[in-house]
Amino acid sequence: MLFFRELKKVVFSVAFAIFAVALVAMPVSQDVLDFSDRKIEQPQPGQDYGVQNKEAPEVIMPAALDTLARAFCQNSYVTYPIGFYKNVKLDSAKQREMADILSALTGLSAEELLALNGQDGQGYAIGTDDGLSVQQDGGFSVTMPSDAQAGAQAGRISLKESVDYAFFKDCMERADRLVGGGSDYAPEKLARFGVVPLTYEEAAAQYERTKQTDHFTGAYARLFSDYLLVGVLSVLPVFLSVALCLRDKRARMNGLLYTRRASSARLIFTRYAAVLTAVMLPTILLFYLSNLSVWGLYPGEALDYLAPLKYALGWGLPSVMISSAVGMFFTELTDTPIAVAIQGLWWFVDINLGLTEMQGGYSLFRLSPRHNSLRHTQNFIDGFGSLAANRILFAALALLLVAATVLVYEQKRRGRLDGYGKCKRFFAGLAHRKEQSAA
Amino acid sequence: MENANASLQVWPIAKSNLRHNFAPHFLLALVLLLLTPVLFGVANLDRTASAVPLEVFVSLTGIILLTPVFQPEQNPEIEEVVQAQFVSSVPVYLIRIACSLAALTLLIGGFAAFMRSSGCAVDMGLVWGTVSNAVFLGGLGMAAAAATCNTAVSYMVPMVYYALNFAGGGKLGVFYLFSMMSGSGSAKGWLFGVGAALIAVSVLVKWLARKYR
Repeated sequence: MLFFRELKKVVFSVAFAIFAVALVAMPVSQDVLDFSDRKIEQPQPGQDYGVQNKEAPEVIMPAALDTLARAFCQNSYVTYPIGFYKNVKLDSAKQREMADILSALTGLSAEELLALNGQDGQGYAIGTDDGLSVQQDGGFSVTMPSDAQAGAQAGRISLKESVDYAFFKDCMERADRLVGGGSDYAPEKLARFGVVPLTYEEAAAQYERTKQTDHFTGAYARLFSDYLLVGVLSVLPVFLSVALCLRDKRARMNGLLYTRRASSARLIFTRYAAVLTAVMLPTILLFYLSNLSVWGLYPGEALDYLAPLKYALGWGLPSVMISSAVGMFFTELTDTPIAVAIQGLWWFVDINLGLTEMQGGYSLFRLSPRHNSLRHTQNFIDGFGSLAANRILFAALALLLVAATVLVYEQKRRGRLDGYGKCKRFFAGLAHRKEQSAA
Repeated sequence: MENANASLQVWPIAKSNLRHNFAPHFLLALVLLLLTPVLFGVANLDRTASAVPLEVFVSLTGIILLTPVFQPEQNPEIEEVVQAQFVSSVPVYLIRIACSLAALTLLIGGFAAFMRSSGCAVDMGLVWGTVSNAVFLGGLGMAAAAATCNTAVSYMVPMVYYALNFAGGGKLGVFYLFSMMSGSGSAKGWLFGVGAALIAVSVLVKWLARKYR
């Protein structure tokens, strides 16, 4: 049977052996294959429950202003446009605009603020009275004011009393646009400045949501999905497809295959199904292996034993589908491994953009949806609609690409398409003409 | 006279390589470099921040330029013609490798000069570290290509290694690709040395494979 022949070709290939090693190495390196030491404990009164980011204007406004004012003084704005550090320096016109924004928030004139440029904020105490400031990673640091700073309290940069949160957000959005986007001043990221302690009630509610919605095992399967998608499933299946499609060319089997009675649609969809099966079977096995490690941690609780299967198919499969489809389409179209570069670049940009959504981000075009936590079930519940839309979109796009591959393959069979060959001959012909005219 | 003839062979081989094999890969490497300032900030960076685009992105030129050195022979028709030739294929491989290494150094050096002109604290240490990364990743790709004669696998091996650096970088010791980003980078000699050794071994494997076929 055609399907099993194609499956055998995939499974007994070097590319699959490397894929299998990476599939196991990824969860082992991230310590998510065995969760037995990571029990989700029920919170007890009087404990420390950690901190959370909250839309708390009274915390966000001074902390965000503190960071922006310091960046303004040094003309050094930190942004993460694709997840990586970018240090933006503004020209004088844009610094002037930034001074206007700060002026609207602080009541100081733009000229007074511009005079601070290049002074590292020295001479002005910026931020809260107690010297407590929030760092980028959400931690706190305490700064003891120097004599010079203490003497300059009159000129300190602080919020005007009349500033309300809506106006503040509007100003921060303008600041974000001014530095080119990707900064923590963007409205959707402002909550990062709102680091507040988690109360007992909130911690207990979080635990209940994990218990009622995830039945515990769902939380572990979700975290496992997060790691496996980012490291393996969003990018490596492309290699299996490329290897399978180039294999016929190498073995000079194309001519033979083109003349066979099997339709192009049957051939391509069977091949695609073989790649998906080869990827998903060990993946589901690993999902269960990882999830099994927590089944004994919650005696008497109602666990969801199908959670690993649901997450493997619902969360993981669409990424595998698109990665494999990109591999098949571009390899059949060009007869080159260009799909590796295309998928590799997409994966690279996506994982870096995803760093801004680590605790549950399900943007519509996110190749690898993120949820890098055993907690935050509420984010999952809130974002379930967009997550479902994302996964359906990717699955549909993948099927469209496979259908397009069928069309390309059919044209090649009829001798109307020659992959990259035509381009190569065109360039070689150009070079020859150039040589002849030189002669 | 013989020497003169031999030296004359180098240019036609290099020219043929540039025209039929090298050009698309060089263009792809160029596109990667042109994308770098779009994806990362490359203005007014200190030394550690400058290492980010160089190590994370520019290093990938090694995979693009070195991995396909044996690619023409992966086409069965070309392989048959090569087999029938009396001349050893080793000098051809060496010329191709020299072309790729020269292009690699040129591109990385050019990009580093561009960063420097944009106010970044790029020094020769960063350039050396980036070239070392590129040679190591390219060497991995060449070794995989020589061992398996499989185009997809030859790209897969360095890509998996690259991804592994994101996942568990610290555990890779002197073979960690992104050490300059964390302020270190003293072990780049290891990456360059092993990368060069992998390139040499892959040529040896191809030579042995042809000899004992």
